[in-house]
Amino acid sequence: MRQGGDLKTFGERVRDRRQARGWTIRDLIQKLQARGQKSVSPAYITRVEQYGEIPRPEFICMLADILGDDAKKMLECARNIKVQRFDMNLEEKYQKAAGLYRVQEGRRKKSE
Amino acid sequence: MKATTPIKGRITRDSIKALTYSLIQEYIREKGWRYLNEFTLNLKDLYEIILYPHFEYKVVTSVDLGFYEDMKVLGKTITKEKVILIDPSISPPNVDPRYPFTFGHEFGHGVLHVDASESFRCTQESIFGRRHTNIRETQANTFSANLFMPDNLVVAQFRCCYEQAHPFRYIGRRRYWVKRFGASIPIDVTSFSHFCIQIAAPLCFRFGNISKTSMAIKLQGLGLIENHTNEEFDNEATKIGDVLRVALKKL
Repeated sequence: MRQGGDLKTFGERVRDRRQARGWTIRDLIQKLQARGQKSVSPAYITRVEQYGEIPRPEFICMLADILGDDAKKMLECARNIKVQRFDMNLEEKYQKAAGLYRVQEGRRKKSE
Repeated sequence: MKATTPIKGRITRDSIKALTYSLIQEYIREKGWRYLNEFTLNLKDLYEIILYPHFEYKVVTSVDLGFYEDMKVLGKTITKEKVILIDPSISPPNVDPRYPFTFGHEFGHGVLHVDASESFRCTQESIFGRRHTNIRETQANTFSANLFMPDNLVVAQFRCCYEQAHPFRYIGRRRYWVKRFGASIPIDVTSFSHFCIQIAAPLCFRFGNISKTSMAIKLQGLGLIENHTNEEFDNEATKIGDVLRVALKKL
C-alpha cells in the first residue's frame, strides 16, 4: 500500500482522534450519516486515514465537529499537506523539464 | 455479536472459513454485485472496504525486512502496534505472485492471533513451505487461502470457465483438450504440476491475481483436479518445466 511520510499527518490526526473516542470506522460513518453525509463509505475513510486523501473543507469542518477537534487547526493541517504536495509535484515537473532540456541540448550539440 | 470480530475460543478450520466467508460476503454487498461474472477480487479494494475498517491494520511496504536464518523475510505482523510490514521486493510496483498470499497470511496473524505478545516474522519457508511445525502459520495460511479463494466461489468460477462440473483427471503425460470459455484448447502436459498450473491459470485473475500454485493447490483440495498417477505436485518442478518449455520454444 502507498506510504507518504509527512503527507499522512491529516489522516493520522483523524485516526488518533477517532481511536481516542473508542470509535470504529463504522461508528464514525454512522455519525457522519446522521449529519447528512449519506454517501460516505468505509473505503473513503480508509483513503483519508491511510492514503492521505484530503476531503473537502466542509467535510473537514464536519469531521472536526464530530471528533471534537479544532476545525481551524484541522483545516490548516489539510492546507499545509495540499501545499506541500503541490510543491513536490511542481519540483518533480521542473526537474523532469530540466532533464529533457539537457538531453535536447546534448543532441543539438552533437548534430552541430 | 458481529461476524467479523476475531474468533473467540478455539480457532478451527471451520471458524476461520466462517469468518472469511462473512468478510467476502460483505465485500460483495458493498460492491453491489448481483451476478457471478461480476466477481473480481481486488486486493486494494478488499483492504479499503473490508480489512482496514474492521481490523485497522496499517500496511507498510517501504521497509526492507532483511533475512532471518539465511532466508528472506517476506512479511511481518506487529499485533500490538497494528502494523503489517511486507517486503518491498514482493510488493507493488514489483509484480510478484507471492504478494497477495503473503498479504493475506500476515492479515491472518493480525486477525487470528491478536492475543500474541510477540510479532510474527514470516519467511518463504514459513508461508509457502508445505510442512508447518507451527500451528499459527497453518492457521494464517488457512485464513489467506479462504479469504482469496472462497470454496463456493472457486467452484462456481471453475464451472463458469470450463463449463463442466466434473473434475479434470490427470492420467499421465499427453495432450489434453480443455474447453475454456467455450473454446477447445490443446495442452501438451509434461507433468502433474504442469497440468495443475495450466488448469488453475485462467481462474487466478478473478481472485486477486493469486499465484497459480496457490490456485492449483486449492483446486486439488476441492477435488476439481484428480491425480490418477503416482506423480506428486511439486512447485519447483513446475518452474523447471516452464524454463525448459520456454527454452525449447526458442530452439
